[in-house]
Amino acid sequence: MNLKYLAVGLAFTLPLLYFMGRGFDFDPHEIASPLIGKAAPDFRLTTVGGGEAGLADIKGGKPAVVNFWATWCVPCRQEHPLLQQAAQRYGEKVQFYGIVYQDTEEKIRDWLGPAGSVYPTLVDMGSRTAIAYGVYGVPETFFVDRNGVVLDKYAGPLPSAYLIGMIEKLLGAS
Amino acid sequence: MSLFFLCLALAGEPGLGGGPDPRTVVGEPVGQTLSGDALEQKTKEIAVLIRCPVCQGSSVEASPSESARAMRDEVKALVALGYDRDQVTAYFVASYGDFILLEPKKEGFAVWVWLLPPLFLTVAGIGVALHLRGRGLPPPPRLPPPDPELGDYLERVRKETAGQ
Repeated sequence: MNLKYLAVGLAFTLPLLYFMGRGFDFDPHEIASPLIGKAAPDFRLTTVGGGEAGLADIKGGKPAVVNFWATWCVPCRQEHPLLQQAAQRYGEKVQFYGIVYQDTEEKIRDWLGPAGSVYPTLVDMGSRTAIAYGVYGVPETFFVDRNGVVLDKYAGPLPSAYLIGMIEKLLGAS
Repeated sequence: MSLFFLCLALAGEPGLGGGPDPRTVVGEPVGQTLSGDALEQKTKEIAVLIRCPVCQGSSVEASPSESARAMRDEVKALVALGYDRDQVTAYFVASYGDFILLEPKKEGFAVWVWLLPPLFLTVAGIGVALHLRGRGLPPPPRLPPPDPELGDYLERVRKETAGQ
């Protein structure tokens, strides 16, 4: 075998193989949010109950858990009871928001049932708030500290231990 | 009032029934407010640059998905308010990161995406040229030595064909 040709071939292919190999290491669906460490985008939306609620209401006071979900999204429906339980337990210290993504108020009301939700369920007309948060799909959950800064984002249904851990972290962060 | 103009009104009124005020992200619009055909044209020009987040490599202009439609509407609302191309793309990059741009930026690490293909082609071209030059022209094909037994016959053929 001609070693010169082998060396030239390897000089071209090894860097390419290196970058391809690196590409296998990360999931393109797990892109870190550029909002982490920055001010959470403000919103003021209508609630399913008919009122209004927004992040500005609690800025400087409580930290917040902002969950984007939809009734047509099966993982969102699965994680919903977990969020409700967490809100019942921590609701006095942490403000929970459920922002409904690409759905109708009628379907949300039907799905929530007569008991409704422990925390405000907000309708995001035109997905403007979802776009401002860089939502790729649902469910996605953002953790906002009491200064209004995004501490973390989770894409996919929340594991219970992670949710509780993040809430404790929010409460610990000043 | 159409939904679009309602959205426009909301976009200009921070804190009313909608999402964040774009001014908090990209500042005041640097261009003129647009409407009609000019608005459509400018929206299209910018929407082709923004990746549909739920599709495979298509823009929010090309994709019929609901997410893409919402993002295209957001582009239109921003353009109508006078935000220019750089401001609108910066607005999306602020929330989604550079991945939301269909074309990688020509700066930082991403600049290699633009530099490497022409660099590889140039290096490969030089390599091929050097290789061919080193080899030189191929030698002419070797003819077998003339057969002495055919000498008389060949002489006769030459004479007969000389006049033609």
